[in-house]
Amino acid sequence: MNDGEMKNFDLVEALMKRASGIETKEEGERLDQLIISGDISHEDMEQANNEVESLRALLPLIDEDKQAKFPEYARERLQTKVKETFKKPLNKRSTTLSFLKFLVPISAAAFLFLTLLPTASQPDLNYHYATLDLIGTVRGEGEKAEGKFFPDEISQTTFSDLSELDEWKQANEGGQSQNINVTIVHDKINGNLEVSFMAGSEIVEKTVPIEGTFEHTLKKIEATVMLELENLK
Amino acid sequence: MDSVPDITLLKRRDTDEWDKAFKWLWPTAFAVSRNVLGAKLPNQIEDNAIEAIEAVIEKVADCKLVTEIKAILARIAHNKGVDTLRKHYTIKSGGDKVSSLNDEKNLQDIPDTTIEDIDSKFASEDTRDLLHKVTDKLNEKERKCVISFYLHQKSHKEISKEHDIPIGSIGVTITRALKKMSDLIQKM
Repeated sequence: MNDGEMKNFDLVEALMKRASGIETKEEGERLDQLIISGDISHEDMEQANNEVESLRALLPLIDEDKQAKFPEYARERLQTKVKETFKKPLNKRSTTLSFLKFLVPISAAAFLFLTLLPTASQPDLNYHYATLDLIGTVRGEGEKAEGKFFPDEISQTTFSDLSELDEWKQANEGGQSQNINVTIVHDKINGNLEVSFMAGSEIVEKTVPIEGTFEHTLKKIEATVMLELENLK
Repeated sequence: MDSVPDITLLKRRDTDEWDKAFKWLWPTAFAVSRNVLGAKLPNQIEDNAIEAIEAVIEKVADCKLVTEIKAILARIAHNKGVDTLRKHYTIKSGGDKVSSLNDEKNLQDIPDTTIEDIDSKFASEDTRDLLHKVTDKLNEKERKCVISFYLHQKSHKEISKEHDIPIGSIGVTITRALKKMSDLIQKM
């Protein structure tokens, strides 16, 4: 292949060797001549450079041995390192929530009681649940369960009107430093959760995708809220 | 395939999520360590991989997306492996003198110090999809060749010996693999 025949991919390959530090002297000279000759447009060069950057960033990510199994003996050592690195005490309510996995089906009352248990250092999160159903669900006997996310035990309000939902949110947001109200709105059309709460004097709004079970998603919401509150400190 | 951990939960020190993360990170830590140490210090591969994961734990607080962690881990595992090789072939007493001609030769064989510190362009949620496509498209021979050549800067001769691939087919295999990756990136 002579320089004139070097096509776009060959240019990428040549630049890739240079960026990886493995080009030979001869390859280097040939690439230099090609660049100096002006046969390659600025746009082509820029595109090739971008591609090389992408390829090089991708390589470490595909360097894995799928057969390799994590050695369980290393688990304790690594978990210890996690504890040392993230020194803050575990959020007590996380433990409570793990426990809740088993309690959710039993009763909403027990659930709410436990989530409101006071902790010494972490604020309490009071969750308020609503479903936004702009299309409108037929209520009564024929009510559809499709698209429903919150468990039956959870007390929730359904809105088909955005202004009513906003009023509800305003009424339920706020709270004091140790008692944070968090509104969670299940948007049936978009299939995600809109979470909002007061952090300091600001209202924080987050969109949380629904991932897995209600408990798992709630755990994620709790972590997100706590992180925002900690960032304020 | 091990599921991808949630970075928010990792930052909250969620034990279950960290267990998930260790399993997700291990194939990368192990492969990179094996590629650096495999031929010379095979009994150090697992220790190197564990130490790399231990080191990456400290970086998680600065990561915004979980895919960044794997890219950082690969760099750490590589660098730690190179350090281990250097320590192994260097006698510390009386300065960093090399103890014998054999060791001097071995030191020259040690790969370059670092994998360049690239800010991962693929630190996004879409990356998972791209990674699946790349790993689906490349066969094992292509993946090994392209990684060994560009990432670990091994010669065709070394790749041939380590992976038992005919030396004459390595060049064309690397080009084919790179072309496949390039095509996928262009479609992004």
